[in-house]
Amino acid sequence: MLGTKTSIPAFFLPGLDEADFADFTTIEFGQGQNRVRMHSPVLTPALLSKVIAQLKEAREEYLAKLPVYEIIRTIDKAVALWRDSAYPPRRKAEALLPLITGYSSQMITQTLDEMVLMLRGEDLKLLLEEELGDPLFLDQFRPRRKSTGMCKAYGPKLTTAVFAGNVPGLPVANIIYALLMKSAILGKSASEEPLFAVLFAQSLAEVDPELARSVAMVCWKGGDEEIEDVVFSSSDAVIVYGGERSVNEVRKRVPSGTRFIAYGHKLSFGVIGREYLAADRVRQTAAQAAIDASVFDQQGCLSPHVFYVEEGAEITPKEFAKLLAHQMDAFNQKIPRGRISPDESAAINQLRGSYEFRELEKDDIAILHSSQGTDWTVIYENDPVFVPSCLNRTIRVKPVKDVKDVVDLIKPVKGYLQTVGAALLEKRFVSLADKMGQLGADRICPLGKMTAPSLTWHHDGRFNLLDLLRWTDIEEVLDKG
Amino acid sequence: MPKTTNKYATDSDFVRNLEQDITAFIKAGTEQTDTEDKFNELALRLFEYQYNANAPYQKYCAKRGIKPGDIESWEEIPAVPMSAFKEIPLCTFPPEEATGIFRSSGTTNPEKRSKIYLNDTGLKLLDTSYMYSVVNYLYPSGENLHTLFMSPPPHLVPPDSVLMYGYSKILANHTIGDIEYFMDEKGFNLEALVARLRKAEETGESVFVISVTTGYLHFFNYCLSKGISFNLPEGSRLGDGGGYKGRSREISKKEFFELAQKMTGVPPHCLINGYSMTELQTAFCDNVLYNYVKGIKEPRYKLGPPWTRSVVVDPETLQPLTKGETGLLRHYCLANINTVLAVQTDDLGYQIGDGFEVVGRAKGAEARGCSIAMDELISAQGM
Repeated sequence: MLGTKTSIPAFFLPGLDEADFADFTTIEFGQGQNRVRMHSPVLTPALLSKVIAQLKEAREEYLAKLPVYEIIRTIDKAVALWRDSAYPPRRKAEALLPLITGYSSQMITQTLDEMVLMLRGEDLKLLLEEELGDPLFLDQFRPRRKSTGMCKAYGPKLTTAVFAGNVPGLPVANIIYALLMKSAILGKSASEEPLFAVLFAQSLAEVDPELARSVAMVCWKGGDEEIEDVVFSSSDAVIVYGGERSVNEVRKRVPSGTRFIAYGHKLSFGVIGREYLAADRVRQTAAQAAIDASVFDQQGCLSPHVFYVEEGAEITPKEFAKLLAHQMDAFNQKIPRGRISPDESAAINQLRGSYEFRELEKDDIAILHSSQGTDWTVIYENDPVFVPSCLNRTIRVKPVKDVKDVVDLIKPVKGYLQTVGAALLEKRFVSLADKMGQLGADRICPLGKMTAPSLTWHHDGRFNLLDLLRWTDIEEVLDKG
Repeated sequence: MPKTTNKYATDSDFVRNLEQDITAFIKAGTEQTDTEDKFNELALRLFEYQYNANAPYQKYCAKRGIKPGDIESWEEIPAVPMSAFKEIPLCTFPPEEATGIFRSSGTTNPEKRSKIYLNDTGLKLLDTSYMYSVVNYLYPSGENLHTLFMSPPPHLVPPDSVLMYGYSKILANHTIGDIEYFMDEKGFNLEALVARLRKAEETGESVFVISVTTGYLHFFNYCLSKGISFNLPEGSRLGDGGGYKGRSREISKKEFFELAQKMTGVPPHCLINGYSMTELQTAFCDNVLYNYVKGIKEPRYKLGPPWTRSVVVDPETLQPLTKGETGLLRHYCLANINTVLAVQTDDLGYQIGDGFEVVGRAKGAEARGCSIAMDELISAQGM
């Protein structure tokens, strides 16, 4: 059985060799026969200082001197390797990520497919153009777009990223962003999924070993002050993913002059207008809603907790819930829900139990779910109050008289808004987008696309690169002599 | 022919006979053996009653295609999830006829607490069941002790806790003098407890301290900060229940027992963990003291009395697991005459020996990804 005998590195430290590591910790994933063991060196402040010095040196000597288009080409080549389903690291990822994350193999395969399509060279160029106007600002002084004079952009020398959760692929995007800015990156893997970023870094090393020397992926126990003091004080930028508590913990330890970006936990929901509930298109609407509620088993901050469905259409919200249930089931046939913890299963079963008894009393409640296990659950309830889901494909459908009623319903969670998936015609779509924007949502997208943001998405309402860049201006028009 | 509605009325022969038979079964005590047939017969009769007298439960069973007469084993009786008791009255009579209403503590959401409606029959069975289920495990030699209860005295406690109701009578029966309480409106009275334990050390009169587990953690922290520990007289015992999640950290059961022994000098066989819930009219206790007295060599676990059965089911499929596997505990209890005899908990545990052990409560959905989980949102917003 793959992975039961051998241990797989949960780290990427290209500048170091065995002799540098005194000791390793191991983590095991999966259960029974399907187990994978990973190992990672025990970090000491001294070892990390060495890693950081090497990262900075590699950047200084190589990455910083590379033209940005060269960097794009290298990344493009590394990503392209993953397009081949026979590429050994890809096969490894497809075999092991289901054991590590619990996601079904189909979910992992689809995620990898989508990712390689999203990180092509042309996408990276588009991202740079979108945020900087001209990517060459990263290489040389270039004329400013409107004012006189010239300017040049400098990325951080070292970006540290603290990853969390197990939506696969997230760390890869941050590695790429850092490299585009000619920044070395030190990534702290989430203990839930320390594999994928390491495999991707290895692909970078295959294409350009010198460039890959600016990338390191390691694990340490979050909150280890000795380690984090070394890391944070050496970084020009610190990016943290996580819940409010862990973000605040890190924030306290990052020196005040260091750029600090936190991606806290967020929540999303969907809105479905009358126009998309007509008999001839409602099936498609339900299928799109099912995609949104099922991808990543609803673990992503982009995944919807609730669908608000407008009354007064050919299909009632309650009927829509039934159609959605069909589509949840169909999606589950194609891409099964992953393995979840006993706690998560118990939460779903208790939730189903309480709604089943509510349903007996009231006909404005309906509960539909997978015939076996907790694979998916659709709850229809009249009460429009926004309720966060217990996730893992558990979705509520709630009726609203009019789409604009959603604004007041969402207000209580406005600090946490992320994506709003909307099935609405253009005029109402834009009108809702503005209202949601005012409440803090950073992305209004068509239904069915909630979990697949574009690379140029303003993640948490901010730029992905621009926020980390520093600019130097030359104001005078220089005398060419 | 009598109408079916009459057949299952609370004062019908069917129900009276059932009550008498269950009571007799309970009163035969915890030491009776070969009870499988008896249990099965009573469980099926009780199911027939509850199916016919508890309309929501009947619908719940009908949805699963199960009705009395179709099944032969208690294991096929549909179990109701604990969460159902938070939603609607689940009882065999109109809830307004209840003579005792009990509520769960509802730690996560006070608005959503389980509510149990009992009538006189139910209350009587609750008394009998508690009395017969735990006495053997708390007082295996029939002894009496000084009872120190880290709880507010009855006049300060909301009169709706099934635990207080069930336990206070048992404790009263085995207490020398009056039960002494070490909690009031302001919280735990730790200084008074320290003084009382010192007095026990001096007089050599053994004490039985009872508290929720977190109460002990609080007390031990207090003692540690003052550098206090005790060496309580032989025969003293500590009873705890309710879970090991303290305000700052969660400790394991093993750590708790080690700490308790270190702080009080009470040996492990006198540290008795209890397990009970509002939805169940029986309490479970560790077998340790009973086994010690009887000279039985067995690991610590909870032995359900003969009028209960506890099985462990897969949290995902709710199908029974094999012995030793950890899953969700499901209890069948004949003392639940007024409600539903089969209760699906969200407590994780496993079967061991002739009983079971509790690992802890399922924590609910902690987001593995970056979506905010319900609990986190609630705590962040102070909702």
